[in-house]
Amino acid sequence: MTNRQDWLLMHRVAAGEEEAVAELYDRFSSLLYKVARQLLPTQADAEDAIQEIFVRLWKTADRYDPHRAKLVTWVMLIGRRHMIDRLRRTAARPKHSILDTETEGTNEDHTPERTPLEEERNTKLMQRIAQLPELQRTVIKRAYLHGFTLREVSDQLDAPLGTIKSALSRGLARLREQNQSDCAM
Amino acid sequence: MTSETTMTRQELLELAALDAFGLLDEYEADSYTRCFQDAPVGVQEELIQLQAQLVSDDSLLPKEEPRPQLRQRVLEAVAQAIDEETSNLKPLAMIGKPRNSMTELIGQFPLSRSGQFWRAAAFALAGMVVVIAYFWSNAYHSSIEITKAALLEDMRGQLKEYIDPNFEDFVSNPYATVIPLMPVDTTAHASIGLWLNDRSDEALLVAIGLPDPAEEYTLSVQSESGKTVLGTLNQHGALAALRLSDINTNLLRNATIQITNSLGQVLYKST
Repeated sequence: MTNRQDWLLMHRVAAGEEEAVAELYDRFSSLLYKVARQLLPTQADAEDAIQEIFVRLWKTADRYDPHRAKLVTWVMLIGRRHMIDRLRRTAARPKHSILDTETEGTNEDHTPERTPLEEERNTKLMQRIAQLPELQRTVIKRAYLHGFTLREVSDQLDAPLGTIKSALSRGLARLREQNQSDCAM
Repeated sequence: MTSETTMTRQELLELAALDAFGLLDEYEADSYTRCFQDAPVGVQEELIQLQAQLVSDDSLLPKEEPRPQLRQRVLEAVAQAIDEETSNLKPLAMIGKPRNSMTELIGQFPLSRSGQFWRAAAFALAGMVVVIAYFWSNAYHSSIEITKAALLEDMRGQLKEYIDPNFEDFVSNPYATVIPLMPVDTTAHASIGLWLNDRSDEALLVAIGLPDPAEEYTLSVQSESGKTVLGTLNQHGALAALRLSDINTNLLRNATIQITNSLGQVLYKST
């Protein structure tokens, strides 16, 4: 899909064209759903979130700017922000004091209804996170997995915002590198 | 680390990753956006590609797929939201109907000179509604979108005829962005937009409802280095337009764009 095709698609979505909404769903629902299952506690929560996200995408479709981002980035950003808002509304995030004592893999405490395959996958993710330096590990758990803003994490850890940003950015890069090397093996 | 004017490529790349995941707060996201816009085109492309690559990477995500039933549920929810919005907009949509009927009626009769004048005036007013709807849409995107689409469908031909034959292509180009020009005097009521295309280095100014059809209006740009006149607007009744090519769109974006009358008074400017 070219930028222009994506832009036209979003204009059709904004105009309420059902086929365009269906096309948008077919392209992005799988990725959005995976993120929802990672962030939100239950399958029902994830499905509700996906429904709300597509309504939100329709409402904001004419704000999509192809100069600024690819459509996938825009969609995932809207989706992720919505999920984080949802987490905050439902207070489903663990208190940050709990995170201090959280052991690897206990993220599942907050994410019931997972299949054995998912459990294994999540455990792998937590194992990879466990191999990161302490600060990167803590920041990734809080920001990436639990939806705290970087400013919140900075306040919680009483560390400069710049340090938190760098730790998160480096931690995410390291996780991706680990994953790529695993795939190459 | 994130000084807005001195952000390096490396810092931008680092923030791009956080921005893509929605991990920046509103202030930082705005700051990143401003720095992104000031970055060279090559770096912008790099950042866009990086963000798309990061968010598309599902290697750290669960493998679970949505249930097939979810598709229908989502489509129904969106359709319902659209229906609710449409019913809220009904009173607004009715505004267009009498004007359309009048346009059709006028089209059936040969017109006198004064009749042609009034027809042009009617077209100008109709066009004004479209442009106003466009500006509104920046603030109230979703609620205006449906009405805007319906109006555009009816008015497309008129706008092409009176503003610019390529008006539609220009403003619908995905690389075109619009800067509204606001009145200096709050009693002024023209709708004015300057569309900029960064890729083709072209601009199109469209003004509807300028007060005096006989006046000579000038488009100029006021920057730190002084004032530069870009051209005189071509007028047709209440409609006016000016097409510019080989311009520095970044310069226009970062300067104040003005419309002045023949006395040099600034009537409208970008904010």
